[in-house]
Amino acid sequence: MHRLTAFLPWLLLLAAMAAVLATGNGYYVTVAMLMMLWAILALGLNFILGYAGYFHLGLGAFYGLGAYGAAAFSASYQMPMIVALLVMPAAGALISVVIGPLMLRTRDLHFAVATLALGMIVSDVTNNWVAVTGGPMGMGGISRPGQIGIGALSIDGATTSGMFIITAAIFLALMIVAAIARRSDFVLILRGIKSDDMMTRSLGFSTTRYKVAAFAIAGAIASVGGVLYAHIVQYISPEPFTFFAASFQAFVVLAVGGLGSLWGPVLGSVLLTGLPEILEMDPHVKLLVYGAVLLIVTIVLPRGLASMGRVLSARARASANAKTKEKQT
Amino acid sequence: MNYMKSFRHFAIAAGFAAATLASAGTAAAQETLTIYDLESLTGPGQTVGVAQANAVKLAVEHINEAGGLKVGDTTYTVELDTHDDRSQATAGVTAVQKMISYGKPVLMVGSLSSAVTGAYLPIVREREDFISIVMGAALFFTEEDKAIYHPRVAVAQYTESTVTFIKGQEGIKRVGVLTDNKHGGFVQQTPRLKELFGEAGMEVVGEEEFSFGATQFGPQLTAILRGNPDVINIRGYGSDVARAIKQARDLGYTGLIVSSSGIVAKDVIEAQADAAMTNARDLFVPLAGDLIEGGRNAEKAKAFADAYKAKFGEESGATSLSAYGGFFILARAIEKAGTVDDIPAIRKVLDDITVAEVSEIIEPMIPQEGGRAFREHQSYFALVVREWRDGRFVPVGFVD
Repeated sequence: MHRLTAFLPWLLLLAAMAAVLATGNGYYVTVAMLMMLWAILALGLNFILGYAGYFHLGLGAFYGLGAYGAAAFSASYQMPMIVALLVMPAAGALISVVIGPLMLRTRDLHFAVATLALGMIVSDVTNNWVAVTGGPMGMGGISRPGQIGIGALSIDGATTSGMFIITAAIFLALMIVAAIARRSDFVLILRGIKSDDMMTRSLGFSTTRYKVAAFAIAGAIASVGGVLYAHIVQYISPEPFTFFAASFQAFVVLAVGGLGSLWGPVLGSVLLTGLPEILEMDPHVKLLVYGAVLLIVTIVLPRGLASMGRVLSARARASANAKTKEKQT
Repeated sequence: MNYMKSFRHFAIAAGFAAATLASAGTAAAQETLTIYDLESLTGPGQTVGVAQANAVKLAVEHINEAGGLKVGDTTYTVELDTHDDRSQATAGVTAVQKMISYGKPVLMVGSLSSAVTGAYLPIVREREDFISIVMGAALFFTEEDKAIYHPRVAVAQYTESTVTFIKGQEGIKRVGVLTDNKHGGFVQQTPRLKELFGEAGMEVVGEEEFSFGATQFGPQLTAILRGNPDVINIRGYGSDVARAIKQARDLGYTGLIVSSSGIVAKDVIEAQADAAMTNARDLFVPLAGDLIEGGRNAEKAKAFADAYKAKFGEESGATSLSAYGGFFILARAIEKAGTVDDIPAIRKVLDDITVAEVSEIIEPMIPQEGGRAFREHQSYFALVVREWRDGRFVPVGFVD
């Protein structure tokens, strides 16, 4: 029974994806793709922030790295998307491994500021290295993948539905990896670092190595997100990868969804991406309602949306206990 | 039981009567044509986006007050379906996808930022059921962007007009250029600007950049002044340009400063640059006030400015006139094509529509070959030269 319950969210996720695809509606498909993009970014952030407790505010730098790399491969060198999908996450991880040991000497606010600076540097580069990045005008001409697969199993990656299937496949693969990782010793040690770095080190673990690994995983996953963004939107400019547009938003998705939980990134992205689309009202009122909903969720569920089940069952148990006590008295 | 039966008969008869009356009412009423409007109503773009959206609303109100759009034998009341892109590329893409998802031809106006327009361009570029009248955006469109028409000044026009204006001044040989590096259009135009200065026999003796919102321009200006320029060309937004002019004067530069910014009195006052504005000129697409004072389409501009102020309680903005004119270009094309859903037919009319056919265009649009409003989907405008006198900007000429 417990195993079945554990599979229920996966079944719901697959059913939701299939339902969106079945509509064939470009709008629903695009919104769903954006939800997956945010979930992917939050999944990456979960490793360094949710598990290890390090406030990584430079995720946008790696998101942008993936996107600009993908744009260069596609628009400048006419290479297929798969090349960017293989190279850019590796580049993101490599850069993280190189700068990680230096940056992870700091922690708490100092680490947050250091990563924030990293994001600002990348933002400045994308804005000012006009010859390569197109500067503020950005880069267009990014081609989506064409026909993938054989016969009935083939999909046309150039279409919005085809791009949705590719995004969904990558997202599911990352979710499975995250689910496996969550039960691994690696994440257990990261949680140990979050609780007490010194204690974990005293148990014989090289905490720096684990932290750098978590930092690299976050960078690699954000780069995957960037590659997908470039091929979904087919046009990139510096703005979507800035601190407020990317790093901060990914943090909010994770915080609202639930730090350190597997389903938090998914629930957070569904709420944060879906809510503005559902609310049909004056844009300024919409912003107020959106803010109010976030505030309520954060107050009622401080551990995020992913903790809703636990909170509800705890309340149900508490009320049942209260009733039992009442009867006894 | 009988009572129930009679009641049921009465209910059915009443239902029939109501349905007949309702359908008769519908047949007599005008039909409604929905035109989509993509605007930056929230986020950083709202400072300019709201003035654009307001002008679109005003155009719709004026069309409906005049009896609506007459398309063939049908008269349509125009209804706006406004979407906020939140000044974000992805929100713009989802909004456009939403419009397309209704499965009907899309007639869209608006779209302010280059990032948003560039992001939805790949979706609509090849579509045969989409028209977008882009009223903002620094992107340069071509004939390949079949769905897009741009009745708004292109940044390239600022470049050419600036060089033309500076060339017309006496004794200018050395030029310093200071550019907002966050302004995509200006950054993209920098090589062309230098090329044109070179062709005009002028030398660029200093080229520096600043970022939107900057407060300190000292290092850049000092570097430019080292080249002893006869003129400094500053390209950016009004508030930054006012601060840069003030600091250039503080550094002892008294020569000519030419900007392309749409700078307004508020910018000068906030930068405390009143005394620094002597020998400074701004080239920009004319605002309603410039046209009124400059005596160019003055009557129409005044009527627009008054109507705008009466409806929204504030002055119109830098994008308002082009939004108003752009909407009427689309409306006239629909009427002339005699269809609301045959997009290729409407596009054909748009390709050939003349400036004279759209009397509601207030900005000084320069007619292209055959009097057309567009050349390769882009319109061209005369720019106004403004200078600061007695605490306000006054138009001193136009560059056609």
